[in-house]
Amino acid sequence: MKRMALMVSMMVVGIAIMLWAGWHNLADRRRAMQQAAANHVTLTPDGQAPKDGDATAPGGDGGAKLVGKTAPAFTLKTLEGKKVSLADYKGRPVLVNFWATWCAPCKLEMPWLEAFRKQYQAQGFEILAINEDPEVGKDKIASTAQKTGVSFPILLSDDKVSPAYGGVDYLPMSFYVDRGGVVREETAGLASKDEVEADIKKIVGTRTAMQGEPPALSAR
Amino acid sequence: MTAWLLAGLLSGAGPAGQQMGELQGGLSRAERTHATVSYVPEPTIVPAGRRSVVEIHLRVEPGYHVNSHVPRSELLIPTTFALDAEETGAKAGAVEYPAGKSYRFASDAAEAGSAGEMLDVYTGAVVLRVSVTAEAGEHVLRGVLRYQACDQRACYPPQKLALLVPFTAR
Repeated sequence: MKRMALMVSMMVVGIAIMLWAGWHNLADRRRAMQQAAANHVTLTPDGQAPKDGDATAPGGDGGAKLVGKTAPAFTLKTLEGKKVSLADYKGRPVLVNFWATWCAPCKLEMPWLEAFRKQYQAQGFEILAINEDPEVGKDKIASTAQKTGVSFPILLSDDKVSPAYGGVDYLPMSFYVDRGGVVREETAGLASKDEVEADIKKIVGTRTAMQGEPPALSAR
Repeated sequence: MTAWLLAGLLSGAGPAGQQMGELQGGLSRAERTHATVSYVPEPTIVPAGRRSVVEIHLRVEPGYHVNSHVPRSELLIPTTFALDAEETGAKAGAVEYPAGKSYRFASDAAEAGSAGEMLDVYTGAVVLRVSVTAEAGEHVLRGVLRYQACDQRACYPPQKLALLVPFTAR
């Protein structure tokens, strides 16, 4: 009987030690995590903090917002000081492209855009390239655009157009606006040349497709 | 497009950045991730009264790069750390920057006949070294880090961030 009681006591003590060790380790881990968290600073875009510790969560904009909606209107000045409005291109397919002089991928895709502009010019296709760093000065913007070989209008951003397009915080960013003024596609970042052309075809072909005619598009 | 700064996030940015680097084609807004650069303060002890070095340990998250201190074009935004007014009892000198690595936005651009410009960038661990001479005691270097980050497909606007770099002189 005494032996049984001794064994039970030893088991109880053993379990207690295991529980204490587990709790102690957990407490240590928590302390280490708290210390690491206190010493760690992560730099993120303002207003886009991941929610509930999930750094992979989408930003506050919650995904593509403008696709299927009317493209926000804007009136901006060109490098030459001429006022240009999106409304000026009513009835024409327009690619609204945001870029900056410090954005290497933007400059990479600009020659492609120029080529596509020429290719689909007969269908009324136009590109409006909105520069997002006008503070560098018109001369630098103009020389950068010239180096890329583009001839489409370069517009200088203001404090309204970027927020209207959802806060352009990632460049290049493109909005493909069809003849009816509706955003058909929206891309952030450098897409492949084929993808850019596929998106252009979506807006260039809108009117003819609605009329039941095959879109008059050039081959790739 | 204002300053980015959020303290206290511990996890997740790395895998997110890695995931972004693997994406093909343009990204939807929901696919974009956020954290690009981390500053990790480390206990630093320097000899009091003697010229020494305080290191600033930055980490560019996987899948991202920032321009080095000497990018290859005047249009590109270099990484800089500008020291604020001097701390009492501590004198800070020049900031030494590491060498960058060559990088080009190649991918399918090369296939399309566009090479893209050659860049000089930092990735992964980046250590800035600040020359200091300090009296015995606790000190903090205050300054503004400026950088401009990109991933494999796109770029974020340039950012300015206030950093506090603590160190002890004994």
